[in-house]
Amino acid sequence: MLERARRGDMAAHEALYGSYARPVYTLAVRILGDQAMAEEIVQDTSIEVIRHIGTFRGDAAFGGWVKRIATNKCLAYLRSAWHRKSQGLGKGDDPDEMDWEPADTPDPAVTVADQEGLARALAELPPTARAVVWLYDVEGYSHHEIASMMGKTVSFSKSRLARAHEQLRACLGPDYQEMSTCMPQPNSC
Amino acid sequence: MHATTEQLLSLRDGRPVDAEVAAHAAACPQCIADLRSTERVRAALRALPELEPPRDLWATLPLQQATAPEPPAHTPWYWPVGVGVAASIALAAALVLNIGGSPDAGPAPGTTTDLIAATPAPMSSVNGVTTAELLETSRQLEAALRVMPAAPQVTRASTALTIANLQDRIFEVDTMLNDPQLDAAREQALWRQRVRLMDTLMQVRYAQLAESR
Repeated sequence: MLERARRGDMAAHEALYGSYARPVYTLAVRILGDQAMAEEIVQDTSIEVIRHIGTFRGDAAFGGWVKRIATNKCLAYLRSAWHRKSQGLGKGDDPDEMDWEPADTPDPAVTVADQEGLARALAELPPTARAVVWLYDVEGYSHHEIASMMGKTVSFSKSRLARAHEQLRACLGPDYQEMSTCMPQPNSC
Repeated sequence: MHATTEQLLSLRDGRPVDAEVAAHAAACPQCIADLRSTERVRAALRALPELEPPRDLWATLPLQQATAPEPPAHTPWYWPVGVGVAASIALAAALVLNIGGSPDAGPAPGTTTDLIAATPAPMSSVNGVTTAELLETSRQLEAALRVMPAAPQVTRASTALTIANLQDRIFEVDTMLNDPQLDAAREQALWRQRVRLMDTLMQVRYAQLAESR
């Protein structure tokens, strides 16, 4: 399939797209917290795959190569002045430096301990904290790699990861620890 | 003194931490609970389900653009879909429709500079406006550029070079705008510069399209 795609076979490209569309869309939604932007990331990533598949050497997983492209696009978006301004027009602050609080104070009676709640809590994190926790804890990047991709220091990556964990815990509430043990296997709850 | 979250994460991942901190965390119920919490958060994040794109994005890909020779490197522009779309489409539509107007309205032959000079002036005026107004104008131009037709397959080299230079300069302005130490006056000056550059880019893109007809 890869060989056919390298030769410009668009049917092969479409089949490859079928293999990476979901993981790339998921990655983008989790990092950006925005479905419309995630769709654009999928489209831009696909265009880049079509254009540069000839440079993919095959010594690494194709899915990892595609996700790396998508990750760089997500981080480029987070770095852009447009994103920065859309987060706090006129405030003159880096949104990540602003004091953070959960959108709503968690009510113990309705504390969200399910996957939907975690996804919401993740989306409510400041942008770089969200990106770092996803890239580190889920995608398996090291702090050095994240720092390099974001143009920041290793300390920055570590502190954002810690902040993300603190905020996820605060957002999910005290019941989370007990209930979350069911999360890896939702049907067992 | 309890371990910090950063120290607990280091312990979780087997990275070195101060021996005293490690000894405390191993014996302190609070730190043990917090350490387990970091493990649970990670496990829960990893267990989140994969998401399905809401529509067939492959069908919407500009495949002609994807298979065409790559344009010069430039800053990707992103703006949330739906923001200011109406105004942007109106602006872009007006510009595109002008291409099909009377021959007198078209750009004069010659250099890219001639083409720019022959192109109708854009709507924005960047003098004496606030930063918020500049941002709004920038946003409209950004969106209008995004909905303009793709670049023609054949473009004269001087036009392509002008576009690449403008995109590079906009990228430089964006980089400066990301400086957290930026003061308000400098920021406004940079946004003004960005609007001017984007105005010019819009004109060159218009000229590029007119040139191809």
